[in-house]
Amino acid sequence: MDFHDTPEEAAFRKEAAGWLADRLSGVPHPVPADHDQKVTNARWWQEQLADGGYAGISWPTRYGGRGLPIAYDAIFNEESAKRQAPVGINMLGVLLAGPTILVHGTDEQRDHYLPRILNGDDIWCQGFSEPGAGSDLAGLRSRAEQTEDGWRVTGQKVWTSFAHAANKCMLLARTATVADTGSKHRGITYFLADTDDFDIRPLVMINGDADFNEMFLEDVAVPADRVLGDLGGGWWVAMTTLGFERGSLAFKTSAIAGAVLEGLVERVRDAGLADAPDVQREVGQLAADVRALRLTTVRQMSLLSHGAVPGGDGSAVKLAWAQTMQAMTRLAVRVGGDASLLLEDAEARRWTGGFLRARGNSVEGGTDEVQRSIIAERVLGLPRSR
Amino acid sequence: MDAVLTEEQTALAEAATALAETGLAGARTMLDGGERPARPTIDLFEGFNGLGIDEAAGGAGGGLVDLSIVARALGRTVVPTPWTTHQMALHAARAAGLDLADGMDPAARWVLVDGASTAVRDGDGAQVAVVLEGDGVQVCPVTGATPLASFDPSRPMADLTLGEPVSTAATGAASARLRARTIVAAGLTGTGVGAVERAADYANEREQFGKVVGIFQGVSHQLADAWTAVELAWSLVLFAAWAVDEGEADAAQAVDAAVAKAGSAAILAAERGMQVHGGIGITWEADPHLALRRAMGDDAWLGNAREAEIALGRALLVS
Repeated sequence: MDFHDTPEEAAFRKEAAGWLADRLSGVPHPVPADHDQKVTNARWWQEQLADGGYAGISWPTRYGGRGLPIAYDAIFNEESAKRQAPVGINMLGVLLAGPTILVHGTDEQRDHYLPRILNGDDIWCQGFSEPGAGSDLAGLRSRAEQTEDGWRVTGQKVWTSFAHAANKCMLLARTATVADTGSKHRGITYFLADTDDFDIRPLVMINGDADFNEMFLEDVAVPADRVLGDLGGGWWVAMTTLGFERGSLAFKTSAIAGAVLEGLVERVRDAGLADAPDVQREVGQLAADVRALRLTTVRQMSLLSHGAVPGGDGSAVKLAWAQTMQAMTRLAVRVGGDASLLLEDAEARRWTGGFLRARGNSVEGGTDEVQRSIIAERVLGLPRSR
Repeated sequence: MDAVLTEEQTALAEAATALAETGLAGARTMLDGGERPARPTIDLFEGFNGLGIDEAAGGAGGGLVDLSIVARALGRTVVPTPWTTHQMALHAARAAGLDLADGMDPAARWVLVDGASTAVRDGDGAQVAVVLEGDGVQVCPVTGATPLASFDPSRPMADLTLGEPVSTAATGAASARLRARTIVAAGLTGTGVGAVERAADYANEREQFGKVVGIFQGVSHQLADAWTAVELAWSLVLFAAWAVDEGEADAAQAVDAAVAKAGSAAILAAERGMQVHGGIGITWEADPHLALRRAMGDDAWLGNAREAEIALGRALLVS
């Protein structure tokens, strides 16, 4: 049991921290005023990551990565979140598409797609969810029909982050009906599609941001060599992608929670409530929660590096993280009283915006209810409840 | 970072779990007014006395993480034993640099007293009390004990009369409290996880509406929430134990965080576990209340979750 970084990890953390401090001093919009400025930051940041050699830390060197263990991704994510670094515009390519292609792709697909992710030639989005298929992803209805030289895909996707910037999409569509295969998990195919012919419309969230989109596909042509994994076996490829959603990303989310806690502490002090025992208690509870998120992630990352298969800890962290983010932002708004409501005040607006955004934390990346069912089944051995 | 149990620690957990197998039966015996069973106390003193204290300091070796692993296993089945209290007293003596050789005798029974020697856990039958007063520590003989009826009969309490100190130290109590509270928190996470596991077993057997009740999300999600709380608290305990041993700068906050979450998680788990048992869960003859009594009783031991939460918040806000 050792919670310290190894000497190599500590050296990497120091190097990364120095690099981050240096590059972040040049961020185009330190306090982005709108969505466009955020996107500008995200594009700029992806370039910096590629330039600094931090875009694919755990990727094989053959494809432009550093070939380091996943713990180094985690360390970099943590140091980035501490300094409120922007999200790279190709986050989904680096985190999800690339690793999935590495597992399921042919040699040709790996050689073609992987370098283009790190150097920013391709930007990826994830076409999984549909209006009728959210938590029940296998209920998706987009369909791909075979043509002479590939496929034509028709359907609708929703909640697609980065679609406005992407040129590539991890696209799930049915190539056989449930009636044909006898299972809703069979007959789904995973495509590496171009988004040029997608009709992409931004979806405005409750905080006013348009971070995600709807995508409408009508007879979109997809060449035959864009199938990833087995034809009709896309469900299992998609499970690989979703597996990567946990892992090193958890470090980033727990570090984000740490940064929010720091802001909350400042806000409570500013509100003159630092000596109020009830507020102290509430902040203490949240501080313990934030610590627990990080430490559980450290344990999980350590297990992964010993080759263990993660159990329910990823779901436990996701579930607790969402609740902690919501509780921290709620308290930050409430300690401010009336002044919190004034939209002219940038600080107040940051917290009310964060509070609204945090509602999404218990829906995105698997709802609270899905996480609880995963824990009930995989950890507690209870029967499937759906 | 390598925050995993070593092979030795995994083996230790298995050995302690095996010793703790009869815990609920023992707790039941004491609930119904019987004597504390001789086992596994005898085996714990023979095999694990002085765990977490350096051999150079007169202990059995290992660290506070190892002791936490055993405390968790004992909490899991609500084992009634004075062994845990004895270890806390040894660690307190060690923290103050006092001689603990007598306490290494498997027949020795030491207890930990913070302030007044009233309502001392496992006080009846104790020979020696390690007393914390401010930052001072004293080792005193126990000259008299008046047993008290307790809400958690598996940790019997007594008012103690103490003789003149045989050894004293001006400092060490703060460190002793960190160690003792970590051990209590470890036991609480065990009590919580045991309550969840037994409720899950029950939910896999009990049928209503023609199905095992564990298939209903109203049942399974309660247990998932409880497991989440207990598992996250266990991370805090492991870190606290490690941080105290390593002398990390934020060890005090690490212990506050562990105590803050472990008590509440154990109580939540015991309550949810009881609810999942339905009507049988609120009967005297069923086991869920054994865990609930232990969770409530241990939460109050050496400062409860509420106090730890306030301390943690104050440390952040007022500095």
